[in-house]
Amino acid sequence: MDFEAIMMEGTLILKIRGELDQYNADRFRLRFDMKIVSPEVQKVVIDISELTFMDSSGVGFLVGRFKTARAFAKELVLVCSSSYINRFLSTCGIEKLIKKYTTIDEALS
Amino acid sequence: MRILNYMELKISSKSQNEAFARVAVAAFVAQLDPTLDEVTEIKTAVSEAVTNSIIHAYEDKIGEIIIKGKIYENFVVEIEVTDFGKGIEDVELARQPLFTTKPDEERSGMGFTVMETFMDKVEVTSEVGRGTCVRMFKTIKKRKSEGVEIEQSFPGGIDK
Repeated sequence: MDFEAIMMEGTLILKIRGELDQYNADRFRLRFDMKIVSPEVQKVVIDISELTFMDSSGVGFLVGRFKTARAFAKELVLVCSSSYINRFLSTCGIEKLIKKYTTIDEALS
Repeated sequence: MRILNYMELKISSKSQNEAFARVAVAAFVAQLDPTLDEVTEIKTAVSEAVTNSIIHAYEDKIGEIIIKGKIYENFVVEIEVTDFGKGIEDVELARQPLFTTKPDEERSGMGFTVMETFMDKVEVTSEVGRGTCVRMFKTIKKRKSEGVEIEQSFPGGIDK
């Protein structure tokens, strides 16, 4: 797994690629949190459209980052256009907690 | 049911091995010509079972995880994930959605629910102090080529 961080007028966009499992969740947790808590960030968009694999450890990872953002009074939303990942997220019921959009433009508006 | 093919894999309970385990199982199942969705569902279920062994069964220790794959007649796949860790006190409770013994560690508590959703049948046997065995079954849908059903291409069975 790797990721790209883009800052756009107070919004931090984190684009994740590859496989999000327990191994990668452990590797990237701190790096994500450090970016999320940064003072210039007001809103966080995590784009998981290019994930090729995700299991429930990945759900735990996303919920964890959502909680970090919330603890610092920041909004965190997801972007996902992958039908399989969307189906997986629905199975885990993540939409009840985190807002999800299909495109980055929708998430930013 | 007659076993047509099988495999066995032994890995140490390191999270680096999660990807290896699910990819190895996917490669084994590929001989049944599953759809991409079917392969991903099996990979996800394997990842959940192996992660449970790493995180819950062995916790801070490194132990052994054995993954067995069997292909039966009629496109039935069985995947068995066994560990020799601390075991599960209450299997029924552990299988409930959102149940987790580690709420502080970002566990979603959805591992067994995911396995049950993506596989046709999941059996869990566990003994405290001895370990846990998860057996998962899935029937791969028969693919059709030019309207003709593809026969399962394994001559004979294996006595095992």
